[in-house]
Amino acid sequence: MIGVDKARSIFQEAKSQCGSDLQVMLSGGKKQLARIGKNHVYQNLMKKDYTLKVQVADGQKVGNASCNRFFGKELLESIQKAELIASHQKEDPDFCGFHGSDQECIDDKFYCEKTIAADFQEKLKGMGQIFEDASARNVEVAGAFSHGDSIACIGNSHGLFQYHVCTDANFTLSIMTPQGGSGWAESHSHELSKIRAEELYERALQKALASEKPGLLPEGEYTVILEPPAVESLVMFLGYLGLGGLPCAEGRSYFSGKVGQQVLGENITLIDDYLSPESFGCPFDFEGSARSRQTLIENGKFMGPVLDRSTAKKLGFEASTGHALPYPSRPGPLPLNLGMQGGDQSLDEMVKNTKRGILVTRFFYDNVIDPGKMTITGMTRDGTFLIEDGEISTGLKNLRYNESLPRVFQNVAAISKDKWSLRGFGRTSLPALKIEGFKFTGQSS
Amino acid sequence: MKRLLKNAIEYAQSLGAQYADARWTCLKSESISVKNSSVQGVDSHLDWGIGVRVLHSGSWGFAANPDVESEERMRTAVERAVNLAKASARAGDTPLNLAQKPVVEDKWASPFEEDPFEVPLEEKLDLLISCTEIMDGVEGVALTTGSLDFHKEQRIFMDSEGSCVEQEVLHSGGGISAMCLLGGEVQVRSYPSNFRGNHRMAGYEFIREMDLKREAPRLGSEVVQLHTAMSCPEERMDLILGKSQLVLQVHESCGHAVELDRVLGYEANFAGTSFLTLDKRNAFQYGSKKVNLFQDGTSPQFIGSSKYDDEGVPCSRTDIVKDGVFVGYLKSRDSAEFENGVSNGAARAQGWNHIPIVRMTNVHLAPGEESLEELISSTRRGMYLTDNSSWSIDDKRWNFQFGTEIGWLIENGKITKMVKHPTYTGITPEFWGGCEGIASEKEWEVWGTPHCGKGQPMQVARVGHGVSYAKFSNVRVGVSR
Repeated sequence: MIGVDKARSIFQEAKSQCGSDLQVMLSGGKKQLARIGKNHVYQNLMKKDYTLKVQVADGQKVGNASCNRFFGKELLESIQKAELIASHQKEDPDFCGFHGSDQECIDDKFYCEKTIAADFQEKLKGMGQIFEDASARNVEVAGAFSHGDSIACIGNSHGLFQYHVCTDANFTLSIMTPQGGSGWAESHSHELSKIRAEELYERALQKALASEKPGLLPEGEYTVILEPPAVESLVMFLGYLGLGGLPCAEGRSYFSGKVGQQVLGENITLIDDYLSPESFGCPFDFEGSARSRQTLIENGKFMGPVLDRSTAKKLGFEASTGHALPYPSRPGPLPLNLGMQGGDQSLDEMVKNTKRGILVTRFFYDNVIDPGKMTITGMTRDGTFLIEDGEISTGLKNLRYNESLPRVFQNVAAISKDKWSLRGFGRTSLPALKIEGFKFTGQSS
Repeated sequence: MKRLLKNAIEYAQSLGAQYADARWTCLKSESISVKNSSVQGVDSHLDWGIGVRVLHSGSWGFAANPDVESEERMRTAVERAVNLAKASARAGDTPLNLAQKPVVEDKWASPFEEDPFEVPLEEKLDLLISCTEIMDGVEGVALTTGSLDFHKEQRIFMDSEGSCVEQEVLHSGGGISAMCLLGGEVQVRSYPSNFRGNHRMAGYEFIREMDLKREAPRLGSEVVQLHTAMSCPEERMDLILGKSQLVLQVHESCGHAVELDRVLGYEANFAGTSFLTLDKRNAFQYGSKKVNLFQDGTSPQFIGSSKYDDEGVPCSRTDIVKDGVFVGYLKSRDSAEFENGVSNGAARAQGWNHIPIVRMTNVHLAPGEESLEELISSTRRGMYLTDNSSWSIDDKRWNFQFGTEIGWLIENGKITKMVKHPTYTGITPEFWGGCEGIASEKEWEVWGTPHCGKGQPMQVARVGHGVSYAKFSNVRVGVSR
């Protein structure tokens, strides 16, 4: 791992070699990952990769150059390349200059020494029992088991130096049965010890067995219970299409000009919180601004988007909320640590309280149809079930949905009290949702 | 460098590896973005390193090492790869085998006329700024963008069987788009396609050939017209797909469906599996008799081409669908051993720090005999859709739904009204089974998709597709309404 001292020395060397206005960003990490397929470890790899991005500003002209080398000749070449680009560049009216700060931020709140020190390959050996059990049951396991660390560091010639390091462990697996059953489970944490492979295997296995010989269902509107990974797909698009400063500033967001207005159901509160233990986010953004906890939707009212310095200026806000992505950011600032306020029922209670509905494990290949209306489509995957009289009655073929996100989040009938830590577009903390009138338009049959 | 790679391989063998390969890659790229006549960013990137892959005790181990200058660190990477392979073997006993391949020593570089990295930055910026200025000048246009991307990659591959291959590819790509926002409605028009345009194995001459500036006024005009266009009707009708949409249809419903690692279950947790199971080869009607699909990793100008894949296997042309019947897969050396034991050179890795997996090279829809005019004139009621805006398909590549930026209603053999936010959906073999006609070679065109995701950790591949126009009967359109 590139520690804070080494990162600082890279930054100091960059500063000493550059006479211009300079900012450097260092990111990357080390990862071990084992891919599983057909009840064995198919690929097992270790990679270590860091990238240094040099930005040079000449007034409003900015040049960027990046390389996976950080010292000496290569560092100098990156700086010279960035200077050359800046000198031939046109002015960028949205560039706000580099953010100055005298205060260093060194963050390792979510770095777990034991996660890195653990004998990953020994843990992998334990997977052998899972493979044996799967083979004995005539089911197939596929998945990925990984752990590693990552850093984000930013420094500039205006006195800024920020460093963040965290660990990450993840286990995801799918189980397929000969009778068309499919189940899935995933867990991730900054602590490897919190990954319980056997529990995940059992959860995925039960889903796979329960979804065998899946039945057909006519397309139409149904009450659905979305498990947290399915909710994550929808929330991710809500954040990407609607809750970022740039689409709001450009009038592309459904929420543009609606600050303070009721846009979603009164039971929906969405907060971007990098400090949530489930999200284990970074305390600064890619401009070096301190990231703040932002309530974006409160009881269904739009409270404002996340911002970087440029969109804050465009929208007339006083300051950035600390959500910038690396410059130049085409999507603009985005909420990467979204959490939804939980409700008062367990997932099991939500199922018990449903006369007829569909339980969805997760969605797959979601995409935007109409960004203005926030209409998206996608398929269910790895465990879709019919609920009848409060019980799961049968597995279903995968279903295609077409839905408008504001409509979905205006029709939430129940929210689970338990939330899951999820890794998708950022890291989120989300409950299960019961939604009325969810529209399915096709199926895999 | 070759000395270092050779030493790494020999060291892996001394540690008991049945097979080892080492791959050095060096990537140089430039990415330019312009928005509303202003520069949004210019990025230059350079990276290099070595990936070592070993087969030990029947299992793969892979370690990536950026420290190519140090023999000692190289040896550490080899030891890691061997230890990872041993650990994999301990966790299960399904030994992998490798399909045979010829031993080759060769050098190859993709041809180009004008090195884009030598073209002055000002010229490239001026091109994009002038395009966006033209579109910005159209009343009603709110946002305009332009992009250029250049990718040069050098690779040296060596393995314990004695192969040594040096390759270099150069890709150039770009595109422009206009967006109109009215009353909460968002409309987009792009050329030559959305999501950073079209890409070709070529130099800057491809950018000049695209003539982005020529198309800018049309995009500005069409995107404004879309706001007053009719909404897409919801019905079953004939469908004619334009080239930039047909590219995605081929990519998603054929290209991914014939990746053999998916079929075997190795991608089941992430990208999914495939309905084209092993029993279906030579025994499944994928499409109508007019449908012929093939993969060709050697097609000139396509960004999925090279002379050898990342296992040193010569790239080749093989049939996927012949006269409508499914006949073959995309294969790597290890996956081929589960089928007919012959790799067709489709194992590719993103750079030095990823392990090769089965990827599309270039998957083409062979041209037919009709012209676009004939396809339209033979349509009583249908829709012509082009320029992809949205794509979604299930984990078996069975149920799909696409959206395009624009469409036109066809009535009694003639294009009549413009249609906004069109979508269509179908089931892969039913859809291709309804293929009634494909435009001829005169219309066949080179397309490149540089952002195809697959694998864990995610790898992004650059793949190509050759298509013309095609007509499909009885397709459900307007599904999202």
